[in-house]
Amino acid sequence: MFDPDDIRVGVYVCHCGTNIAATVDVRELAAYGAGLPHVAVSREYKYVCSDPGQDLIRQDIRDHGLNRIVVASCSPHLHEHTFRTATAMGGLNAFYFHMVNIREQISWVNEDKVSGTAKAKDLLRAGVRRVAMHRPLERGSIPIHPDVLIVGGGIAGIHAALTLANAGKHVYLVEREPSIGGHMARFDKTFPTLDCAACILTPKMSSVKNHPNITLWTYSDVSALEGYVGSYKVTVTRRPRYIDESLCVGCLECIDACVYKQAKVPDEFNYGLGKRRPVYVPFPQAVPLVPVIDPETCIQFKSGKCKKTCIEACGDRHAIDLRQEAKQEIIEVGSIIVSTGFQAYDARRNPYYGYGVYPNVYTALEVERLVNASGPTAGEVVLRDGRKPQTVGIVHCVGSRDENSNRWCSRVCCMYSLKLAHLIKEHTGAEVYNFYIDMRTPGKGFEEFYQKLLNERVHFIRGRVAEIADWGLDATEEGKLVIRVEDTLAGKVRRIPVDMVVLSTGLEPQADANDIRRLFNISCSSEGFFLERHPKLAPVSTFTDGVFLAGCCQGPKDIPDTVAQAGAAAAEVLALIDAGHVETEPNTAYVLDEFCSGCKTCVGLCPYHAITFQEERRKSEINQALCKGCGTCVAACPSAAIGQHLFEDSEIFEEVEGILTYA
Amino acid sequence: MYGLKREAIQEGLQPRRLPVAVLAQEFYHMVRRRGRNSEFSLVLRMALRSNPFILLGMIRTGWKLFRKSAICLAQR
Amino acid sequence: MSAYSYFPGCSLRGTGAAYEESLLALFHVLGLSLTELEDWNCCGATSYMSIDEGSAFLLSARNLALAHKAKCRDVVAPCSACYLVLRKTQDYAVRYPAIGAHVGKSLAAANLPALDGVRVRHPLEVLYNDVGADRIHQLVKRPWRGGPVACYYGCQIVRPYHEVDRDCNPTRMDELLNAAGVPTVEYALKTKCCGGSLTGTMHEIGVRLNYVLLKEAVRKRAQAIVTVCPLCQYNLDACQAEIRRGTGERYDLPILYFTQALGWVLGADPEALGFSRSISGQKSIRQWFSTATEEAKAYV
Repeated sequence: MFDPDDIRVGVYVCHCGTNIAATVDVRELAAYGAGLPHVAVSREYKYVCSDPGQDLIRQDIRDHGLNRIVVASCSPHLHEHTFRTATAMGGLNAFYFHMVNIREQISWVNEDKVSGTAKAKDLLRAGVRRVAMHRPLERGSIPIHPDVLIVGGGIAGIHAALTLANAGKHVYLVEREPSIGGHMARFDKTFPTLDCAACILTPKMSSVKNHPNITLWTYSDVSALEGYVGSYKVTVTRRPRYIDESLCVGCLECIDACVYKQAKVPDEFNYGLGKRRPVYVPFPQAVPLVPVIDPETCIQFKSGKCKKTCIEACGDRHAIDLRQEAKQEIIEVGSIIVSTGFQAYDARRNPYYGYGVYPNVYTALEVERLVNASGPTAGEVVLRDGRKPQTVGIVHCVGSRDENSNRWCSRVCCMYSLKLAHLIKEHTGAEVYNFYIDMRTPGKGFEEFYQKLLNERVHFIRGRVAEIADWGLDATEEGKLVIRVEDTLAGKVRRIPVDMVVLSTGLEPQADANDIRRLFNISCSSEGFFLERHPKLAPVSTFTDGVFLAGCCQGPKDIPDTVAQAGAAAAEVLALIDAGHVETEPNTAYVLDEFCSGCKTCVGLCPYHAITFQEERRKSEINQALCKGCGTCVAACPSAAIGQHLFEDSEIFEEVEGILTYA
Repeated sequence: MYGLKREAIQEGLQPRRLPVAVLAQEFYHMVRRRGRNSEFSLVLRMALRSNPFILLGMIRTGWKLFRKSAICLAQR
Repeated sequence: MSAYSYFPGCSLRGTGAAYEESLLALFHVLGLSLTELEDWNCCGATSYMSIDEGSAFLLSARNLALAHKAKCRDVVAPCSACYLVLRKTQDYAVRYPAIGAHVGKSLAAANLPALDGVRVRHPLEVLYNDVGADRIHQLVKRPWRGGPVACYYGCQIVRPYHEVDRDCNPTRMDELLNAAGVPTVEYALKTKCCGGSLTGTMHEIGVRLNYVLLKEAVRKRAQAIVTVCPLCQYNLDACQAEIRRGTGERYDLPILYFTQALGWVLGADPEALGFSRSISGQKSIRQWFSTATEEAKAYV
């Protein structure tokens, strides 16, 4: 249709209303454009991005045989895609289009129309010279494997898994604890409705177990990951429970039969408040309901001399296999959702609060287990010596909003402190004091819940607790823990003697967050929580295509927000899978084999691990699917053996010459 | 904090016989003059300028200290 | 034999005489040499700083410069207030150029060398770092005959500088005493203020603060309190009679310097440790230290 050497450029200068037109003389600019070499058509228009504007481009391509398009308007971030599409719809390759930014780069930063227009002419000239060197490029396409991996089986992982499984997708749910359920399984009631956490969680947990589309692997970790969006190869290590899941029926008779007549090992599920045997299930509603044998405490593992009554009790089922070994499963998935959750702040880091020193100082999670009817004290809120407390102090912001530990607000502690205040008062009738800095109650029903607590005569003292100690000034303080706090509303320092202290610990990233991060190639923010792609507009995606986030691993949040985010992540995954493939931008780097000297400088520089060194050929190779076109290797190659599509040396030099040549 | 104290002293805002302020001033003068200070003289001067009854309360302790040669009447 | 410059400060020549005596005796037993800084002047403590900040730093700077001149760069200041003011001057002269310039100029005018290289030390920290708990354990000559003690650090040596010990739950004095065979108790009030000069200027407040300290020590079944500061020792010591009269509760605890306790256990001459200078707890002191004098003399 036209000779490739016969470049015919169409120039479109946008007024953008008065956004550009007020500080750049667009008429003059368009006239100038008409006079540039190779320019066949030069127009100015009020809003080139509008439908008529785009039609103009399409029409001109047909009418005038244009083979290059330059639009001088706003930032490519906004409309590059729009104009590339318009170019393609006009019959040209989309990458014969180039955008010149005369809004953010000229109109918005210049006050003088004369100098602004002059500068705009320079940029336009550069753009026209560059676009002549553009070559046709095609976007790549990566197929998306329809299976999904979800790492972390808390409420976020569970909800995402169910959503995806119900949509017909196959999900692998990998959880490192022996049971799914996460932190929510340990809660008693949830705020503000005081719904029983287990009652709303366990049906979902059962659905996960029974769903034909979900492969549930508990007591397992992701140990290796390869690949890129659409085709990840994941190695999951299934740690040995020493009980065969496929044979176990969940009768739990092995636990009753264990030679330990009394449970002796402090159990992790109850934060050490209760005890378990070496063979145990973490809690009665565990999913899967298959016990685990702990080799650190099981007599058979430690000494080899046990009667093995558990195996006897198991009988014909033969589900116990003490020689079980870790197994590696290798799976292929197209997308991954990371929902590994949070860890609670370690209250020992605040030495002035006496956690670990005074026995009756508890953390909020420990108290959750105390108030829980299926907890170690059957729902009785009692001190370590069994007495019921008559006064209780709840200290907010332990490990949150604190320059000495974590600066952020953990978002849920005010609400759960109110909830615990209510539950403790209900269970014991004690006088309850909450020591807070601000009362943060943003959600639905939250403020009303706070009002309810005020009506229940819970005491609220606004002030950060300075110290908790056991020495008393007078008889009323003997034998109690004294909380010293500045009551900022009353304007004085007060000493409040209490029987029991509850520290509302904040949420922080898991201890191994950095390892998880490196495994999945995602970044984290300065606090350590995993980083979302955009704080407002892309809260569940990461900068790594195909890896999504859900739940508290991305930042502290309560259960409704977690579930919402899990749903969002599932939706993004569904969008990916249903599209079937993902288009890659073509501005990737490529190696010119004839110039590559095999120095391997580029290999380590790539932030996306896209460059591999081919030993047989002694040349570097760039994976076009992983390359993001950052240009680092292009600049670094000492042999100038790497080029980049859309940013070729010839294109860049033309642009530079265009700016430097005075008309 | 020290800044506030100094401003108050300059403006003469503290009560003239406030023992805390008087102690600081006597300390200051003594060090400026002699380079060192003696606790006995210091307490004596402070009490005389602010509230001599302090001395009465300290007689018992003072006597005990004197007996144990912990008080030096002159600079050592 | 390492050489330390010794800055007694005004109180060690006054009510804190026992501290000086026991410090010298202890360092002698340990083989550490202490040379008194010649022509030292008062450090100014907090009082001087609150009246005239400009020259307050100069007082300390002069002392540090004298040490530099004497080529004895580690200045040991036993009194907590002296330690803090000297340490602060050493820090601020570097951190705040304006103060550094002022100090430098005045020192030069007085023909004294600059402050660089001079380190301010506290005897507790010297024992912990330069001698070490293990060596102290090896040098023990006499068993401790007394009861368990409460180690009282006071406020000034643990904040804001942490070379001597950390401010929240310091334990170095406890570690040294334990290594020497002296049992210590958990004492939550170990860094709570004794009132300082308030016992003189605002008497009731000062006495009340000491009452709280003594009460808690007794509650934890300590039979003595061991301190590092002469003013703390004086306050805790002298207030007990009045507390007895005021509350009717029987308080008669010996308030010892850690140098006295360590000095005794490591075999120093008991007469040189100044035990007779304490007001309170003389009964316990006579029991723990004097009856053993004859036997102890046989060891030494």
